[in-house]
Amino acid sequence: MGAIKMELVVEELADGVTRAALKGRLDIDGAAAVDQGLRNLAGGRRRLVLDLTDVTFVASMGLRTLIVCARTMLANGGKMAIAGAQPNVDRVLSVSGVDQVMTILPSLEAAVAAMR
Amino acid sequence: VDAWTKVADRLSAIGPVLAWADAAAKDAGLSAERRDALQVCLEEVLANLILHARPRARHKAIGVGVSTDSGAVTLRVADACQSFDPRIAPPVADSGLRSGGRGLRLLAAFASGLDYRSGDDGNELVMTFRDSCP
Repeated sequence: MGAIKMELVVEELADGVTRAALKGRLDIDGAAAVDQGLRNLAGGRRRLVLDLTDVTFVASMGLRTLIVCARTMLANGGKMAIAGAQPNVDRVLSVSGVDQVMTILPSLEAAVAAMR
Repeated sequence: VDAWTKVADRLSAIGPVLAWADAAAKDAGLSAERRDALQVCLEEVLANLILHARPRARHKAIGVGVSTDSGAVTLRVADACQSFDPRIAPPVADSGLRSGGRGLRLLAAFASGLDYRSGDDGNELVMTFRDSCP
């Protein structure tokens, strides 16, 4: 752990959907690395898909980052979905109850479709 | 306790402690899956202490101990804050998009065992991780 720096890559898709792809470990250091970037996206986009396909781990502070992003989107009248969570990440999302308050879909395609 | 470290009362102190505990767990032969569980729980506990706990006196005096025995890794998280027993504190039933209230669910699901004691000398949360469960 600690060797992989968290990455955030932003891609504008069709129909006003923004894909934010995260890569790495969304632990406390990873969350700190992408927190401001996600806040900026949440404040300026109306349809946001967080692609977690390449996220290998998520913990408390990572969940907090995701929730703050979703809360900002909701406050601004936007929509957000999480896509592609690996089984271990998906388990943290479900155990914590995040899956009850966010749209979580298995694939990027399904998440993008849910934004339209 | 095989090793012990103090934890400063700031979020930036958590990362090095997680790495330290993970190295001990790896040396003990804990599987990658259970090491991730350990990381989830330890980050949750330390973040809660740093962000939310109220010290009884001037300092929170947070410390983490690691011990290993027969493939199990035990973490002891000590503090001098107001007591908070995660085994009996009611989880938030519906916290919506509030960012808090979810940690107890993670601890209960990812630690193989949880114990807690509180006394005049402070609190201690004991979390055990082994490959056989849960």
